[in-house]
Amino acid sequence: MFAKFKAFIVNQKLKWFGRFVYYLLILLLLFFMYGFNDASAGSYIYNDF
Amino acid sequence: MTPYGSFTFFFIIAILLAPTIILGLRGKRFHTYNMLATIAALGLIFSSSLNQALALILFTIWQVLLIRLYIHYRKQSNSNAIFYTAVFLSILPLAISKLLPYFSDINVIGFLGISYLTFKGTQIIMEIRDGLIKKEPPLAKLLYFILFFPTISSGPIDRYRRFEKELETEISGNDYKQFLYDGINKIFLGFLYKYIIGYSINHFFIANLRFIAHSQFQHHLYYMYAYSLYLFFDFAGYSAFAIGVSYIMGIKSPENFNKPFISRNIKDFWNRWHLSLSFWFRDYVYMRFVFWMTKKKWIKNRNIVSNLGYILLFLIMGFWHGLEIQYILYGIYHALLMVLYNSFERFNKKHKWWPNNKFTHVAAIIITFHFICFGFYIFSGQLFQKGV
Repeated sequence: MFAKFKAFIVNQKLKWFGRFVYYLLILLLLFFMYGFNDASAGSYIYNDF
Repeated sequence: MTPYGSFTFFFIIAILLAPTIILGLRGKRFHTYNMLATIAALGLIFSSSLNQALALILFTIWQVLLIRLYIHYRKQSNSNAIFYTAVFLSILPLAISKLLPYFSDINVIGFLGISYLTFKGTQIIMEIRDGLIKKEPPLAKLLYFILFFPTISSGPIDRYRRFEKELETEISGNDYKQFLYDGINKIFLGFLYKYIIGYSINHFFIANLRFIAHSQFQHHLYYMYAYSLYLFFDFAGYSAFAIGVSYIMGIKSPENFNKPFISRNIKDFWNRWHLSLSFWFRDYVYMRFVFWMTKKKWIKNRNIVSNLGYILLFLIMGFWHGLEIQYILYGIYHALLMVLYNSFERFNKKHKWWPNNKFTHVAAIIITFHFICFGFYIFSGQLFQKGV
């Protein structure tokens, strides 16, 4: 059972799918937060030093 | 234009680095093109301020001249006075740019990234002194190292020998695929950190704290934790962008963060937070100080020497952030934590008061987290703001 689960987790196709969903989610969130406007996430704190 | 500050910046960089990607995937050398891309990117970053562009050019000439003169001198002689003078002259523009705003409204010396470029220049002089850099660095490589655009504004602070070694390494098309994959991953992580999580914490929580908190104490408490997380996601987001773009350009810039909020103690924290800066201070301030004190034998107790080294390191780090009270206190606070932890570690080695098991491990992470957040609270300056 555990071996099957392990094989499922390390499956390359699943990894690619996970990565695809992760990228897509980030892109969708960026779209919902900023729309077609340019970003206004503020300056970087450490740029001042 | 602020690096990684807008989607437009990313769009321009994507176009600029398209030839790098094509060359990389075909297994061809791309560093010459990347040098040209760096010039174009620097032009873009500093296009809005002619003053800053001029300051950058003069600063670079200054550092290159210093490095060249010192390496010529070092081949023949090795006087302490000349070494200290070279280090002083290397740091001088940064010191002036930090002090100038207190005396004048116009800062003609400062420019975006001056601190990080200074760290790079000073590091080369110190490594020449130590005999680690023996050959004169070729001008193109030296300029490329100092002005490498992905890390210009806030690091990570790379080391010349490491950078040069990577420039000389041949990258095959297959190897470059991994560079590209890692680079894109890091850029997406940067978007998640800076543009989604960091922005949300700042915009939806910190900005609305006066409506969320019911008392002054609650306000400060919420601010402390929210600011700590915001600072991390802001800076780790920037670092992920900088490292990601470096990877696409075939350079594995050093990491800046390693899950800092799961640190078990303050020493562990400084091995996880702003790594390139803390390692710079460790190698070029702390280690040199400890070595110097041991050599001179002024203080024989190793622990006192080590504690003095930590105090010196964190005081300089505090002053480097700025002469404002919050930064100096931040330095003192971390120096104190380090000295106290050093003493505790020695006491615990002898008496085994704090056992090493899973429960104490989790407890140590929680305690350290709160101490770290209080440090960031000092750093934020909120403690000294009136009318909050």
